[in-house]
Amino acid sequence: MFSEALDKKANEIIARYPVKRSALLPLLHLVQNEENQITKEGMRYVAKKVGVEMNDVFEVLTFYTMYFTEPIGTHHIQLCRTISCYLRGAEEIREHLEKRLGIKPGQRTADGRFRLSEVECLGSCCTAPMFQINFDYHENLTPEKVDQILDSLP
Amino acid sequence: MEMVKLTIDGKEYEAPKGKLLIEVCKDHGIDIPSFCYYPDLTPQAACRMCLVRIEKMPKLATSCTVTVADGMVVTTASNEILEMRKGMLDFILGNHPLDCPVCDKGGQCELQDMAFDHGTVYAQYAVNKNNTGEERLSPFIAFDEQRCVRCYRCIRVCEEWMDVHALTKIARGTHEYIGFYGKDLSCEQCGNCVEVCPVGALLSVDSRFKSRPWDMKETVTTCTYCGDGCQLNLGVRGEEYVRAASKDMTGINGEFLCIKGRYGSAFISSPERLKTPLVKKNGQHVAVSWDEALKYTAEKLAAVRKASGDASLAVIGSPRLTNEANLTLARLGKAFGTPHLTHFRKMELGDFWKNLSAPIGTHAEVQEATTVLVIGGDPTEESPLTGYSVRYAERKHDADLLVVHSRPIKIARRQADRFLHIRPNAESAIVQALVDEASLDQMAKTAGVPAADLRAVREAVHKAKNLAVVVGPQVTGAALKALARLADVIGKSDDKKMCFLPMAGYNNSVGAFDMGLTGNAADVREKCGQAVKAVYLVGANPVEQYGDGWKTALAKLDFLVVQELFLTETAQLADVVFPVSSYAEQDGSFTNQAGQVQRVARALEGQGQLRPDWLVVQAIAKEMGLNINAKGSAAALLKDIGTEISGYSGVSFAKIKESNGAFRTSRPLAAGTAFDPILADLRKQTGAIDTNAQHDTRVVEQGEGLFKLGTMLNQVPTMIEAQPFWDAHKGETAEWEGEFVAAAGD
Ligand code: SF4
Ligand code: SF4
Ligand code: SF4
Ligand code: FES
Repeated sequence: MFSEALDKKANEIIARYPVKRSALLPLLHLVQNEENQITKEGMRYVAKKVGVEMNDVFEVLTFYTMYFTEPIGTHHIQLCRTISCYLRGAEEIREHLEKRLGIKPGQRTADGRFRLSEVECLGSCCTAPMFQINFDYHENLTPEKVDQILDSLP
Repeated sequence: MEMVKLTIDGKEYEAPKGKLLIEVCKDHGIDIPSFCYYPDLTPQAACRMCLVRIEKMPKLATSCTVTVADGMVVTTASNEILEMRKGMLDFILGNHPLDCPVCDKGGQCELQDMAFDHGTVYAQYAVNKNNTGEERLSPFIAFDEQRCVRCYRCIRVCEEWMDVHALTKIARGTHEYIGFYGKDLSCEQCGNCVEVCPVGALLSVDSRFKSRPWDMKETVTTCTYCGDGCQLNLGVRGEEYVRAASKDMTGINGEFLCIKGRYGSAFISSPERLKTPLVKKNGQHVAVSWDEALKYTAEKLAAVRKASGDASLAVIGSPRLTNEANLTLARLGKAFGTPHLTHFRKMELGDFWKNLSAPIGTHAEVQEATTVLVIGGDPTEESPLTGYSVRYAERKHDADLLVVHSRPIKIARRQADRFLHIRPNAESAIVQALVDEASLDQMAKTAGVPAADLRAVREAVHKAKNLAVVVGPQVTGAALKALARLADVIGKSDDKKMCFLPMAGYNNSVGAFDMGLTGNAADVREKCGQAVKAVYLVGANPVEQYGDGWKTALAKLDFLVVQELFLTETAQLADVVFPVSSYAEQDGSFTNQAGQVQRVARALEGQGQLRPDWLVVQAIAKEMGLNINAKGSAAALLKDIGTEISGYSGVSFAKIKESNGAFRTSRPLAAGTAFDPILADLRKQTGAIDTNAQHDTRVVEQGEGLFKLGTMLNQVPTMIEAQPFWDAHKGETAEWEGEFVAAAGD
C-alpha cells in the first residue's frame, strides 16, 4: 500500500527514538505528505508501525491542527495571524485571499488546488506579513505580491 | 510490606510505602474530592480536584499521583485548597448544561455531590457553552458531551479492563470530547464505561429516562448468563424492571459486567413470557388453572410409571436453574426411582471433579497467578469475567500467559506470551504433551504446532510457581480427566501453587452437577419412545440448541412436561407447560464455575401466575403422593443442601452473606487413583485426531460468542434492535487483525 521507500524512511525515523510510539507524529507527517491527507490506511499503517491502537492515532491527529483527514489540496496556504503579521496587514491579505480564492480559512477550493489556513506565528515577524505555501515561506506580502505568487504556481 | 510514617492534617499515620496518597487518605476517612482518580485505573491527574499541599513541594500536588513517603507532611484542607477546589469546579461546570432534572444520573451524580460540597453558588467563569446534543454511539451506549467532566475514566476502563480501546479523546481544549475513529462505537458493549462515568455523560440506551436512581428499588443478585457469576444490582421501579448495574465494588466482579449481565435482563418483562399453565388439548395448548395442570400432570406421570416402570420416566434439569430447583428435581428423580436423571451441559464436570488434583480457583486467585494456561475455550467471548481476570494477571504483574486454541482468539492475538494454534479438535494432544513428555514431539505433529513452542509451554507449566489453568469445553473425555490430574503429574511442593478454573458455560453449571443431575442426556434421547416414555424437562430448549434429533425423540414420548419462561420450540412439543419465575423473580442460589455459592434474590413479582421451579416440582410430587422432603422456601432448601450435598456443608443465606456474598464450596482432591488407565484412554483419543485437518485461521470476531442470542437474549428488545448494527460491523476484527499469522506446524 505504501511504497518501500516510505517504509524505509519510517524505519529510519522510528530508529531515532528509544520507544517506538514517539515516532507517531513524524510518521503521520510522512504518510500525510505521501497521500496529501491521512486516510484510514495511513492511520492503520502508522498504528501498526509504532504499535498503538487506531484510536490512539486518531486522538493525536485530532489534537493537532496540522493533520488532515481530507485532501489538503495541492497548495496549502498557511497565513500567519499572530500579532506582528496582524499589525502589518495580515487581515488585508486574508481578505484578498478569500476574495481571490472564494474560500474562507479552513476551506479548500472546489478544484482542490488551494487550501487556506490561518496559523500561529511562523517566526518570521521581521518580514511580516507572511504566509507559508506547503514548505516555502513568502514574506513582506502585499495583495499584488500575493497575486504574483499564486499566478506563478503550477 | 514496608510501612512509612506521614502526617496528614496534623495527625500521624502509618501507610504502606508506595501507596497513592489519595488512597491512604481515603483509607483513613479523609475526604479528598476527585473525578479522575479511580481504583484499579492508571493515574491520570486530569481533573485537579485532588490537589493538596505537601511540605517542601513548590506547588499544590495531585494526591492521586503522589505516592506516600516517610516524613511527608500533608495538608488536605486549608483556605488555599478550598479556594482552588471552587475554581476547578467552576471550570468543570463551564460547559455543563445543568440539566440535572432530566439526567439519568441525577441523585447519584458525583458532580452534583461535588458542587454541593465544594462548589460556589455563582460561577466566575462565564463563557458561552458549547451546545451539543445527545448522541447514540451504539444500540447500547449514548453520550451527552456537555455533561462530561473529562475524567477519562471511560477511556481507561475500556483500555485497561476491557482491552477494547474503543474510546478516546478527540480534538482539544474546550472542544475536546470523548469519541472514537469511525462512525459508530463498535465494541464489546459491556457498558463498563457507563458504570464508571461519574456524571450522566455516558448513558445506557435501554434504561435511559426510565427512572431516577432514588425511585428504584435495587436488589443484589447473581447474573443468569455465563458461569462466572457476576453480582448485579437489579433496579426495579414499582413493578417494572429498569436496569442492571454492577454491585458497588464488592462482588467477585468488582464493577465489571459484560453485555449480557448489564443489558441482558429485559427478557424478564417480555410480553412473550408464559403467564398461565398450558395443557395440550386436541393438539392445541390451552390455558388452564394451576390445580388442573398439576393434577393432570401427576395423573399422567403416575400412569406412565405404572404401565412402563420407574425407568420409563426421565428428569432433565438445567444449568440455568437455581440449586434449589435442581435439588428438588434430583429428589423427584430419586423418588421416581429412575436412573434417567440428568441435565444439558457443555462440559463433563463430573469427570473433572473426580480427577481434581488441585483446588478450583476463584477469579481473584486467577488474577494473582504468575502463569496462566488457557486451553479449550475463549474467555473473552464465553466467560467474560474469566477473560477480565486473565487480562488482569497479565496487566498487573505481567503473568506468563499461555494460550491453546484452534482459532486465533482475542487473548491469543493480543495478550498471550505464547499461543499454540492447534488443529481443530486437537486440545487432547496438548494435554498429552503436558502429562507425558516422551510423546511431546509426536503430539506437536498431531496438533500441528512447532515442537519448540509446545516444549516451551510444557516447561512454563511445569515450572510455574503460581499456576492457574483455565479450561474450556473443548477439552473433553480422557483429556479433561488427564488435565484435572495435572498437579499430580507435575508434583506438588510447598512453594508451588496451582488452581483450575473451568469455563463451564452456564450460570449454574457447577450446581447442576453438584445437586446430582449427573446422568447422560444423550442417553435419554436415544431411549425416548422406547425405554423412556415420559420426560420432565425444566429450563432447557434442546430442540433449538441440540437439533432435530431431540425434536424427533421428544415427539415419540407418551408425555412431556416442560417448565419454562417462554413457549420455546421444546415447550411447543410439551403436553403440559408450567410458567415459572425467572431468576429475578425468585430467591435461591447459583454455584459459579469457581465453586462459589451466591445469592439469587427476588427483585420483583413478575406478571401472571408464576411459580419458582422448585415449588412446581414439589407440588407435582405431592399430587403423586411422593415424599420428596418438600420445603416451604428456598432458604430451607438451601439449608438441606448444606447438610446433604458434599462440599456445601453449612451453606445458608446467612452464611453466603457472611462470606461477602460468595460461599466457597470445597471439593476433595483425587488421591492415589491410578493415572495409567487415563493416559491409555488419552492416547486413544489423540490417536483419533485427524492430522490432515487444516488449521482454522479465521480470526474470532468481536461478539462471535458474546452477541449470540439464546432463549433469554432473544427476548431483549435492545439485543434484537442491535442485530443490523452487528451485521454492519461483521468482519471488522478480521479486517484489522487478518494478518495475524497462524503458527503453522512442522
Ligand atoms: S461499552 Fe465497554 S467496550 Fe464499549 S466503549 Fe464502553 S467500556 Fe469500551
Ligand atoms: S464520558 Fe464520563 S467517564 Fe468519560 S471522560 Fe466524560 S465524565 Fe469521564
Ligand atoms: S461475565 Fe458472565 S456472569 Fe458476568 S455479567 Fe457477563 S455473563 Fe454475567
Ligand atoms: S483525582 Fe487527582 S487530578 Fe483528578
